[in-house]
Amino acid sequence: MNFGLKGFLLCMLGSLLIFAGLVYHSISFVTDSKPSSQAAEGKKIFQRKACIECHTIFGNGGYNGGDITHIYEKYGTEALNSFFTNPPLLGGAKYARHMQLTRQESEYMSAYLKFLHSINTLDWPPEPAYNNAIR
Amino acid sequence: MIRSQHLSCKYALAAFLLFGLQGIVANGGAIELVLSDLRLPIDFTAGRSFHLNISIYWTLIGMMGAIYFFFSQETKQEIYIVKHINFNFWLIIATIGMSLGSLLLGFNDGREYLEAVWPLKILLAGSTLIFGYMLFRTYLNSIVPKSRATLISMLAGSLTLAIFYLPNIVSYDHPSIDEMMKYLVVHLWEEMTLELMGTGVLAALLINMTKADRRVAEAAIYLDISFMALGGILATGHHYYWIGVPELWIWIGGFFSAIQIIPTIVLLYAVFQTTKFESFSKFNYHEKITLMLIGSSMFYHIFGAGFTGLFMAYPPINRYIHGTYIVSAHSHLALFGVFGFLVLAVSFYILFTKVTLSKTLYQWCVVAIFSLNLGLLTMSAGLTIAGGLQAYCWYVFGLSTADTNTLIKPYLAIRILGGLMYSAGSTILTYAVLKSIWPQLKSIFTDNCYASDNRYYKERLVLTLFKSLIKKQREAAALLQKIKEIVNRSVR
Repeated sequence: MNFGLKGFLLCMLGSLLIFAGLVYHSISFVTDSKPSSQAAEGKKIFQRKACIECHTIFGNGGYNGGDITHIYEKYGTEALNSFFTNPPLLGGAKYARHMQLTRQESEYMSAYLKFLHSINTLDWPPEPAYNNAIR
Repeated sequence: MIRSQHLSCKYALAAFLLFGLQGIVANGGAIELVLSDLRLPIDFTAGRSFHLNISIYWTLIGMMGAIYFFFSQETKQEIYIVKHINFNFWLIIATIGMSLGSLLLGFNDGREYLEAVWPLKILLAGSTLIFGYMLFRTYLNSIVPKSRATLISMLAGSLTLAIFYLPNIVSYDHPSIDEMMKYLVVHLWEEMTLELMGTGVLAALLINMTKADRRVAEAAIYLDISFMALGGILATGHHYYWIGVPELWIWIGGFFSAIQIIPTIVLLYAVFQTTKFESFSKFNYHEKITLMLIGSSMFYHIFGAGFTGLFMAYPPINRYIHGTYIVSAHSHLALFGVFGFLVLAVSFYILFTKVTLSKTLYQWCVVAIFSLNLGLLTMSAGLTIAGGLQAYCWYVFGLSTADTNTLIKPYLAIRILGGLMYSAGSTILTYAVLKSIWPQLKSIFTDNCYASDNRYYKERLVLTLFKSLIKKQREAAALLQKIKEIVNRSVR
């Protein structure tokens, strides 16, 4: 077999094998905490309403609506429920409002956001450096 | 041109049409981000997912066509079951049509870049499986050396296309697993699969067009794709830093992302070493446009994807710029800048083997390429500044998302300006292609390619002639019989 081909196959298959092993390890690591059935329902609503087009989760998604991985920490269930069922105007808009959810949907969504907050994201997003000084 | 190459022309045409459409649609979303109260007929979520999906689809369909075209050229034979090139084309066109249509109607799977609903994902996976299988069988049947680097590169890319897509047909309850799987397509398709396919296609094109030395090119391609596999696969880790997986990904992602710059440099070195650009003026109009598009792709490969990516994947920097518009700038430069221009180049080359490019349209194409580049750079500059401001406002000042959005609006307006320049370019280029190809449009969609230098066609031609000979013989026999009867009658 050609030397170049051997080298390429070794790099490719070796990397794929190591990658697959690491992904398997990571999957068993994250599944230590499973989402509750309510949180899983919330995730389905999150997907159906295409929330990811404006918001980011773990920093991935649309960059306009801000990251909501740890939003639960800031507001809690009650405030989130009232936000979803009675959505305010979008930032800078006079008419356009945030998407509305029913009471049931909003409870599922809050459960999902609570679960998201429980995931360890290695201190991402970083805390603002001058947070206290500004306020 | 052999039959496989003729049949793959329609892929190139479809790529151009989708590319033209994408340029126009994306502007709507960009405007809506600045003017929040603007009520466009298409919802922002639908529009953005349309934009993300079409950007993958047109590069994918263009690349598939280019692979069929150059794979049959490099193996010097027809693709295995040649008529399936047609079947796969209509399958993927139907899938793309239904996916984009369903997204506009509001059916959304809610995973970025993978928004199409699952039945349509199965169709797309089916199409990539058929594609991989056809190429694998062609490779096995080929009589050229099996270790030919262009073939290996294209084949490895085509086979991994389906492998990385399959886990994404379903979504998972745990958001971290969802993210991990998503990057098999979002990262590994771009930085591994398309990269392998692109390298093979580019090498085949340059060997063919500039008569580069194959032996030198082979060694360079192997070096390039080996580093690509070594760096690209484990560099997926740079998407895994903050998604809830073990911390070891920060080390793996950081280290292998740094390696990823090597194949970029090797590729650049190889292109300049193996290509003999004796003088640019010797080339035809369409070859000049192809080279300009390849040049653009190379530029973004080095600066838009390579060095920017290296800088962004360094974990301490990534921590602050992750989740801002800087990432958006990078993905525009890397996805369109590298693969968009490359697919445009090869699709352009393929289509203009059928027709000639007039001088006027050549000039318009030059204007279009200039406009595309200027638009892309303006767009990315606007987005980079907007992203930098986001990081500064959020992580230094602790401003809210809404306040930050008000602050960055001027830079998002610059993005719109860039977007308009870009879509002017994309519209002109698509128009020039369509106008040139229009007289030949019917022949692209009919399977009537006969070339004398191909075994398949010789056999088919001989068979047809033989059949008509038998038919003529029967007619002659019938006529003879009649003559006989008449003669017999007159004798009596």
